Amino acid sequence: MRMSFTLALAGALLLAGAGMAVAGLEVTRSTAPGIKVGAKFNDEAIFEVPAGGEIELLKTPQNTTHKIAGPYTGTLAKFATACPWWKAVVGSCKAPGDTKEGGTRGLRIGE
Amino acid sequence: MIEGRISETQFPFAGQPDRATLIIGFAVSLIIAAFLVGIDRNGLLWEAPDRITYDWRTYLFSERAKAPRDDMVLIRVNEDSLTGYPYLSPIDRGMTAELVRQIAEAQPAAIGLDFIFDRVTEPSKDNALLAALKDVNARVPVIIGAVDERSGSRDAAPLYQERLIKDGGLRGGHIYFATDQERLSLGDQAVRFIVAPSPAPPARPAFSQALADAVGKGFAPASALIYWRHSPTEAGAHFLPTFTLLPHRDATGKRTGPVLPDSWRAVLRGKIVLIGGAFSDRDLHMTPLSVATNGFVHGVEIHAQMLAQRLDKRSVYVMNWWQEFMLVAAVAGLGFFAGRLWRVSGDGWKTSALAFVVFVSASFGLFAAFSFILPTATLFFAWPAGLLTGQHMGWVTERLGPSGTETQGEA
Repeated sequence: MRMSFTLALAGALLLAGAGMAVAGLEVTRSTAPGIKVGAKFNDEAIFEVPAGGEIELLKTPQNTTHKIAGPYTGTLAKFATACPWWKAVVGSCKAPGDTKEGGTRGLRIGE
Repeated sequence: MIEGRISETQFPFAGQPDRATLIIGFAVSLIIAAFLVGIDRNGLLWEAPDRITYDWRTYLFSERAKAPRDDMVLIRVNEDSLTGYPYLSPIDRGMTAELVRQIAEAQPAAIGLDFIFDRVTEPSKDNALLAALKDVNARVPVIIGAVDERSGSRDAAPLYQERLIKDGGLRGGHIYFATDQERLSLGDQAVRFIVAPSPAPPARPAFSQALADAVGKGFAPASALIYWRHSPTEAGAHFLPTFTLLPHRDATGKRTGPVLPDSWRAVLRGKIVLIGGAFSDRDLHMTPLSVATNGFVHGVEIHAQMLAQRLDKRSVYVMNWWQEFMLVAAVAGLGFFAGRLWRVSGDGWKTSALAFVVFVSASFGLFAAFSFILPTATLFFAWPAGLLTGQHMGWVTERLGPSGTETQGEA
């Protein structure tokens, strides 16, 4: 009886373990030096992305993709993209490297 | 009397408007509404002073997705993706054929190609793409972006495009979206509208509609306004899983890897896969969400928003002309009777300013709560028009009426 209980418990733990897929991050695009496309990390990895650099990550098993724009040092989970509304209203959310309408000839005044 | 304050005064007809005043007020309201709605619908009405708040309204009060979408995937092709290929445009048809075949192996729900196929390129590659699309379409619906006579000088039905659709058995969806057209100014060039099929054959649905139809989730939004949704806030998540195709050739053109990395394929299974260009100098657009960032987005990302809107059956609601007419007439009528029944000093500009604040506040509230757009331009003019007419009607009736009885309500 005791043996069968132990077996049942071990079986349950194995099944639970099989259901818990290991979360991981794979770099799918990178302009940050030192972070190579295809490199894999765990959820807790700390990324160091310099100003002007970007990396994109595939998060499994959720199958979601994420972008970290530098300058940023920290984990993916703590990276926040949303600009608070009060910063948006005063123009603090404008990215300096935005592309331009008209492509190569469509410079903005001041550039 | 305090400047700008509305104070009740004695009405000359026993405190109640007589039948003649009611009839005149009703008629004046209809005339004002007809005039304002008529010129507004023809692009001849000045924009309301709150025009500058429209995009902020969209930016600040549009929903934010709680999580990335799990029914769509975006694959972008940019300059880096085409390393080792001799030209960027049109995108290499041989590479496109290979990409579509590899995506199809992942068993997506549908594939949407937001490329333009208006010219032939290299015959062997053109034929390879046709063969690949025909083969894949037998298992997975393939929708290609199509141009029509609205592209100006282009052929309304380019031969290669039509050959793909006919010989490949594919569906085509037009690739257009629209900005606001104004007569009194250039407009702001921000993409805001879904575009209807061309009135001329071959009339095709919008690209997003064709894709939604292909997976059995076709939906016609209540208005042409695009229902924008922000990306989730957490961890830099994309609005939908998004990949940028990696270089798979070196600079000399030698193959260095698969077109589609193996690790991405599991993400595509069961999803609608959009494929589009993400080049730094073309197909870039502003949207209302650009107001805070000045950021441009690529056309395929706008198609993704429109497709998401259809899949979720979301709409932005606007009034049709007669609903707007009734509302504008009601506001003009209120203004008229306010002008008739109360003495309003300062020609009513303070009450008009108050009415304007009420309209703007209501427009924000209605958009946030119901995705409803209040027509503030016509309403802004309706109140003072009604008010001034009501105030000065006494001057008119005094001269037209047989007894010349003086009425009040004049400023």
